[in-house]
Amino acid sequence: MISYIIRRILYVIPLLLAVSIVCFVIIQLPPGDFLTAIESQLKSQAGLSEEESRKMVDEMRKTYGLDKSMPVQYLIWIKNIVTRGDFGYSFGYRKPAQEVIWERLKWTMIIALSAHLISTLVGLLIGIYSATHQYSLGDHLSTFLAFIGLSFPEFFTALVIMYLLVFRFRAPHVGGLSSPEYVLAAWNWAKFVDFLQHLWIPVVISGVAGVARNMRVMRANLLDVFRSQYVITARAKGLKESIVLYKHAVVNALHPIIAYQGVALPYIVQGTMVTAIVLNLPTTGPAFYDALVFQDTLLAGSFLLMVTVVLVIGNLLSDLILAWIDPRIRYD
Amino acid sequence: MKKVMSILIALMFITSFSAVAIAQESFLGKFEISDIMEYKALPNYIEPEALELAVAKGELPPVWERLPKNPQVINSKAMTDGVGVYGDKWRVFCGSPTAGWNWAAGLTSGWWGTEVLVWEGLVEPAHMWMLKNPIEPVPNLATSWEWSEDGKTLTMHLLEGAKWSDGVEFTADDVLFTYYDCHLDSHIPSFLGAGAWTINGKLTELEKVDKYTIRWRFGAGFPLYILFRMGRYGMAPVPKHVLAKYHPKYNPDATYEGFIHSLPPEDLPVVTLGPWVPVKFEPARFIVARRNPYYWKVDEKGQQLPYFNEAYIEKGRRGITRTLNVIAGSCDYTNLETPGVFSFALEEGGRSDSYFAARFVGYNASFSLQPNLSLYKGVKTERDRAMRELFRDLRFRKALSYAINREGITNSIFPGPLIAPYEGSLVDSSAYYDPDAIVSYAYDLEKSKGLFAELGFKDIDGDGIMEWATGTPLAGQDLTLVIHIIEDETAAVNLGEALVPYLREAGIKSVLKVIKGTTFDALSDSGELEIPIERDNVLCLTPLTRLTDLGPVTEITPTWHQAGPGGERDLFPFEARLRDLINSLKTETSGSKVRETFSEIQHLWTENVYKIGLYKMQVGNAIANRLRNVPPGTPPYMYEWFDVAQCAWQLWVPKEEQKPEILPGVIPTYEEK
Repeated sequence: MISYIIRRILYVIPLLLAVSIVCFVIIQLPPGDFLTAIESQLKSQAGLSEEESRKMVDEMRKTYGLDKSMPVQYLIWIKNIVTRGDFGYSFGYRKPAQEVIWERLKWTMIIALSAHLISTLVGLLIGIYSATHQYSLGDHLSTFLAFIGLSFPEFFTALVIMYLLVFRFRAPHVGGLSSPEYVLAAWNWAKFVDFLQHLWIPVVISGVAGVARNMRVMRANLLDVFRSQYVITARAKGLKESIVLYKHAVVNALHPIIAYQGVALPYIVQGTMVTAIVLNLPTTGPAFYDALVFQDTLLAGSFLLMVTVVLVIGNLLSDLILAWIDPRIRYD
Repeated sequence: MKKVMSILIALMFITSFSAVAIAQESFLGKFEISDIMEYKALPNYIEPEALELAVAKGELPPVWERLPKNPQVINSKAMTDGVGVYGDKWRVFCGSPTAGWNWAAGLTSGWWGTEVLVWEGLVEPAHMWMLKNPIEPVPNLATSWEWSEDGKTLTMHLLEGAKWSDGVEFTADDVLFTYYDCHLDSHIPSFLGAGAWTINGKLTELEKVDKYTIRWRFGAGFPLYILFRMGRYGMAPVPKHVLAKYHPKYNPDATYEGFIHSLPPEDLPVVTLGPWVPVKFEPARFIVARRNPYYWKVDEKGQQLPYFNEAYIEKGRRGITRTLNVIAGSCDYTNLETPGVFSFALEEGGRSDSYFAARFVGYNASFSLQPNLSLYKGVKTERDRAMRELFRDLRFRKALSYAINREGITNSIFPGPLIAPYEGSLVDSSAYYDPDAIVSYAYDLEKSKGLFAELGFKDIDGDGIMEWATGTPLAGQDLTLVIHIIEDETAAVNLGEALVPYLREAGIKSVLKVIKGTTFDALSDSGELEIPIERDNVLCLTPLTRLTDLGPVTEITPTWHQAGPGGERDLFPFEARLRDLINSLKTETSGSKVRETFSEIQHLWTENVYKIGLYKMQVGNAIANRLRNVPPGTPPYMYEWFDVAQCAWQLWVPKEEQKPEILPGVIPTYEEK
């Protein structure tokens, strides 16, 4: 197993290099760079002539290394990551890119992990219920709600919830993760309750689509498994229905859900971008969005690289878990 | 029936509007400067309890030592609720990141009102809307000034004894450092560079006369417009004693990059002359600022301002969060800038248990189509050239104006008095608006079709869209307008969508391109926008503050007629006249002459359809009911944004309505670096 893990990690290195090159090139494809906007500001606001503003911006390009060719910029960036763990400088936030990411990662992980956990657990439970009560009223209702959950864009749900909270339920504060009076207060019960009052909105919004997806997948797989010969045999042996269900059927129906965990992991770093923007959350998603829009090259590249790393790690972990729960899967 | 419905809806909104309109008489154009404030010593000074305690413990000098000899006294005459009480926090929402605290190096504190905390200008344009004769801004750190006889020299007297929040005295050296070592240093991307300070080809000089006196020398007599640049957005001094050590001129080991970023957002507390001092910051979440113990404004009773002990800035991204939190009661104000939010703001603001009131104070923003008239910039294709040639034909601009049913558009967007048809002039709230000077080419489809026919356009294939005539570069092609709109400008996007069917009715195909603000700016900069919809709330309202944008007086203005390489530009005779009028305004000191000139400018603009006006709007505010002393009638934007014009330092909340502070009793303290 250890050699399998080492082999997988070694495969990852060329993959990451290829991905980092593609990321770097794609981000730089649009005309201009971050400093183009500053040049425009210098002309329109600061009253500099074309020549003066270009001179100043060229000087800044030199300072930030943006005057070099794209391959050279890439090599410097990747060398600094490998040798110094330095992901480069964010022009937009005027600080190292890794600082921008790290300072937002805590909240991103809390929200995304909570949403992910809820979507998986609730999705599985409803999926099991639906499969074991096929074509019942409960099954139809869950299926209907699953389609609603999948169909509504998250940003729209976020807006509707915020609207309802303010206009119908007279909530004292919306957006962010705490009311103003608690931002610097020591943790106590009141602060915790206030935190939960803010946290449930992104968790539910981000979780709803996941619940729907997991429920549909679990229901379909479980119905398939129920038709398998080993399940028929287990029932024929006279095993209790709960043992048939949880020991034989559910475990085997879980494969796609577990495989999906690997794909879902990058989302924990990236966060739900649009929901976070609407709900005013201090997570990585909005910073990533800004980095792409304003061509904050190194920050956007760092985000993409991290998302790729996490995706690869997630896939590796899901492979290992699958192998662990299903002895039929081998490492070779 | 449709018309009756429109009238009914309009009446409904007028009724709800009057329900929330302010009862107090507006301060618009009501005061002399001395009615608002004066500089004088008072017999007693009062400070909040926490500062008294710090003084008693020897942690702070007594209040009279911290204040200037003659502090700025805010007169009760300009306070609707009179002198206030201490306590509570001012709650602001900020939708942009904080880049740092070295504002003279072009770093923003985040806009959205955050600049009120720490930036203080030599003058204060924000109060000008209250003045009877708004020609010059109100004094601030510069307490008075005198012009020389020829108007080329301006001597300014600084507030003697004013101190930075760390207790170091503010002097002429700080102003000279800000001007020469930041604004004019070609390595520093400040908000106002040398170009902004050059008049008639001569760079403005600044000299120190003594510790509290400075003298400006200009390239022309009486350049009043340059005074507006001396407000907080143009000439907010930075502390030389803090920043000089990071500047390469004063420290051979320093770099310019290091200087620009020498005061990052986390470097707290900030040294400032402003009313509050940022002491806590968490990216994307909040800034907490505590009262500046050295703030140099007091009320008539001698109470040191501000009344709020704290300012809390919630960091976010979208204005809608601010609006929702004002409605929810956890933010103190927001702008109402989109017709989409007018109805629910009016409805909610009218409730008896509402936390806020919605206020609209007249037309103060406008939307127009701006046809690109430049033949030498941004022309890349044959189509570009053909469109520019077409736009330059006055008959086309008139035909387009006649084709637009502005009444229909405003009724479809938001019936009622908050938006109205607009002809492309200044707007009603401007001190220089002259309805008699406006030439209107209002909706008249027959006249429009007649002019298009004259230009050779005809619907040949019967699809309802006119084609270019034979012999023209685009012969046989549909007459198509590419209209760029900034995606964040929801009102402009809605307007674009409402405009399309009316243009189609007139036989014009339109393609809406909704793009990001940064892309829009880049295209505007390179002169590549064809006929964008632009929102304006500066030029049409306070044109004196942005004179160069009014016409072809620089190579890059107006944005819709920029000069090409080498300054090449074919001006129309009316544009040449515009240029002369604008240049004359730069040094005009007579109020009546300024008004006369703006009347002529409005006449030239509208007669020649320089831009095709669509609708004007009353941008409003939603302001928390708990706030006292918000000047009645404060416009959302006029000379400066409402964030500044509401005079945050004089706002207060009665004791029984006060909310708890986040860091009660905390006084900013500084460690030696």
